[in-house]
Amino acid sequence: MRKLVVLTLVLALPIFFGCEKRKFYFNVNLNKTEVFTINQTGAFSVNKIITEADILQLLDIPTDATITEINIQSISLKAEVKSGNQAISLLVSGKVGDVGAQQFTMFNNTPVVLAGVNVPFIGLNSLLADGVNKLKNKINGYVNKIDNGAMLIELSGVSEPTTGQRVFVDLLFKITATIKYSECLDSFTAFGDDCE
Amino acid sequence: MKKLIILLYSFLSLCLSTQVLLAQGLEDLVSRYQGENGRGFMQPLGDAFGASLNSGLFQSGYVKRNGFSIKVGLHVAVALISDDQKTFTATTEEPFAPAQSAEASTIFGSGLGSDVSGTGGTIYSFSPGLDVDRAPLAVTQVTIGAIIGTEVIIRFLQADLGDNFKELKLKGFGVRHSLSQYLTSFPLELSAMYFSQTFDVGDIVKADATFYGIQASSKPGPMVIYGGVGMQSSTMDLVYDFTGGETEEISFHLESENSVKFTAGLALHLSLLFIHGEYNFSDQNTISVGIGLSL
Repeated sequence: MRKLVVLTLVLALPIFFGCEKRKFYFNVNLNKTEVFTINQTGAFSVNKIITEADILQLLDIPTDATITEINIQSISLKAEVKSGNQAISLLVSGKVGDVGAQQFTMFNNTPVVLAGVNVPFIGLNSLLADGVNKLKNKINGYVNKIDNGAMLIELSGVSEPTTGQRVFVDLLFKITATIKYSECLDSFTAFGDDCE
Repeated sequence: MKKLIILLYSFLSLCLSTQVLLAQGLEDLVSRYQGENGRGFMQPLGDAFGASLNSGLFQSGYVKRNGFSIKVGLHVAVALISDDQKTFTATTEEPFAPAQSAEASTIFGSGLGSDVSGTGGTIYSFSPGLDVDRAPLAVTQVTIGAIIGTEVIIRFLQADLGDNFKELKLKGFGVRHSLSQYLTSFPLELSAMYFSQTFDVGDIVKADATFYGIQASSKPGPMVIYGGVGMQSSTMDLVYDFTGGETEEISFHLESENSVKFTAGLALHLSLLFIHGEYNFSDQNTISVGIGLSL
């Protein structure tokens, strides 16, 4: 009986030492900031092209990972005022789309106060679904390698409350997206999900 | 940080993969959380890790009065993760709008995570957990005695985890003193012990655990029923880079409050071999089993 108890306990110990591939889920943030330099008296319109490579170089997702979901978490703006600027505030609109194709509005006439230096990014809380979805679909296409066409980001606006003033700022446009993926890693058996 | 935790628990559960050790760069370990979200996400790890470190420290209330004795053992402690350790109330972080709170996974919680919706189709995703019900930890321990009914207990583990994580070091030292030598007519073997441990991984993880208490057991023999009561505490400091645009260093101090721990266990001694199993009742319950040789 004693030998049976000992044998059982010794054989049970490998349960705690089991190792195998287990599936874990991760979220990784994509933070993409583009700087639009505006030096214009009156209404302005500036654009930037973002390529697949611009997005993918910011990500470090393992090659054996399975992408499960991509979402846009936030879009934010920050204005860095330059010497010679006259405007005290802007109304800014933003659009996104494929180069040479229809542009979709992300935000419309959003006020941006030109408060000087060292201002934080301001999250935009009046975003429009059409533009956000287009942005999400473009990033999704890049990450899943089903769309390598560049996208165009266009920012336009006017000074306010007085129009026609000189606007001389760097307008920083920041996209924060979340990429969800799963990956099978060597781990203790009690962790994670089954790997297929 | 999550992949570091997977790596550490895999290593400390003797499930060592060279591929995992070498392939994971620090870039993979950037956490999305800072501030109170990070603390809520990681606190169960501090609790479980500390309780596991404070398990398997003794297998008897007996301490030899005088004469050489040595015991070398491998002890595995498993922290039992409860449901309330798998979620916490997290708050969305700026610049996401509108700000809102939601129930999110802790490091041990659901691997699916949770989302909340913002304006214009934006979504804030809280970090998923590791889907953990049991968190194991294996340590080696040497007990050497005895002089005037006192023995010393030592734990030591060291490993090179590569350039990214540098070195893993676990060190523990304690003493156990026989109370039975003063209470010769008491029907049980009694002792008192104090034990302190530190655990470091490079500059990223620094943990320490302390235990002191009273142990009791049946008289020495092939089968020993043992138990104990004591106080345990632990702290864990985590330092990592948070990338939310600019990279900044985030540090957390996780503290597991002093808690009473009750131990009930059974040990079998077969010539030089010993085997034991115990259950520890505390704010964080653990099971510990071990095997070793004793002279």
